[in-house]
Amino acid sequence: MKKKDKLETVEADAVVMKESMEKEHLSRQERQAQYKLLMDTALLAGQIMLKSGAETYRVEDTICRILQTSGLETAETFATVTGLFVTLADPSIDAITQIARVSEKQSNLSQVYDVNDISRSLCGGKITVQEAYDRLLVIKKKQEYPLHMVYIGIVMTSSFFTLLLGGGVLASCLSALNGLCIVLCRHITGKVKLNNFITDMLSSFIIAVGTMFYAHMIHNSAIVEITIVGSIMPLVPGVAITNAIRDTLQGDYLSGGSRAIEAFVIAACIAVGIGVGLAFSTVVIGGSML
Amino acid sequence: MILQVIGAFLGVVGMSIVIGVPKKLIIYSGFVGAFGWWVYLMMEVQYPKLIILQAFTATMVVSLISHICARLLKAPGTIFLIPGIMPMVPGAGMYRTAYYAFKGNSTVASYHLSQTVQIAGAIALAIFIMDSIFRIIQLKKQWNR
Repeated sequence: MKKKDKLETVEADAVVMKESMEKEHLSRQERQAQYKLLMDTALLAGQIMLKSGAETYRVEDTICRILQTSGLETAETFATVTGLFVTLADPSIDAITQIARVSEKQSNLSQVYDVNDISRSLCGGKITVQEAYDRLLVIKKKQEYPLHMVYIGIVMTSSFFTLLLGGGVLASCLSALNGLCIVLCRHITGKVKLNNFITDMLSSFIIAVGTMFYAHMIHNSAIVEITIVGSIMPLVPGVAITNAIRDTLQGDYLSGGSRAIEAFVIAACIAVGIGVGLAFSTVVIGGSML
Repeated sequence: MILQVIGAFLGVVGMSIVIGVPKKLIIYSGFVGAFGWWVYLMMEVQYPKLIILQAFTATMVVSLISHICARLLKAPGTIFLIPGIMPMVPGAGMYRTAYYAFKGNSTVASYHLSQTVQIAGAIALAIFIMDSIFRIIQLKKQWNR
């Protein structure tokens, strides 16, 4: 019911926008400029959502809703994981088509939430297109959490996931140390701008070596497994896994497939890092593997 | 078990910070994760050794709560779903696969690999089913108008 309500409001609003322009007797150029702004707004919204890890169907849905406020005949969009195409056309204007490439990726669900909010109020007629565009520009730069909070989050994830899996307090403390290692690794590779896959591999390598070292120091090899399993949790590609599932369900096989590959490659990187780390520490510390 | 559920809450909150869940919704996603993990542990008590069933049921519950939260709080459902299913992700299976593969024991490694894939499949299936149910509800509401 909700969805239909929203669609109806969009249509009611759309008629207003197109008709209001006709009433005001705007010249073709002025109308074109208005539609261009709407187009830029839609494109920016889509770009922000794709970059921060929204599902493809949500991106397409949002762009279409924003474009439909114009009331023009054709409002089409096609989004993939790495870029999007948007077209707005009508007999009364020159068709506008734009392409945007999304190369950097940084999961940031608060931006998805904010853009969703703005598109709702734009389609509900609560804000103008210019206001929406300005707010989107602000959101694009906004970080929900400062960097040190993210680092604390990583340490929390490592240590408390070990507790969650039944590792006990000792293993949880060791995982917190591992979490610190991940943070350090991220900080350094972020400075050098290394590939994400390499960062994950390096982090899991350090986790494996570190855990073997602690276990050797306290003469307790039973905690190795649970500590490593808990510590790698911040590296696990949760966003990619979930979006792969939901995109595939929506019939976006292109996006679903590429996200599934992303998740699989990251998992493989973690596995390789751990394997090499275990083998390496066995050689260094000596003795058989565990 | 209480310790584990508390761990789940704090762990999921930490995860939520990493993926940037909005500040005012972070408590909800923590609760979704903790409740999901509590279901998982209860299933473990009831039906031990059925890991796939546990993951399936827990994900169904998490997915259900995420959809409800999304409608109540007017936020995208992903915000609750992604942190919520993190505890169920088969990290242990991944570790054991890598461990036995590097130890040279390929039989045990492939056993763990297939189990990991099965758990991942169970999670995917649970999300599929819950999404479809909610889509049917939505369509039915539109039909009734």
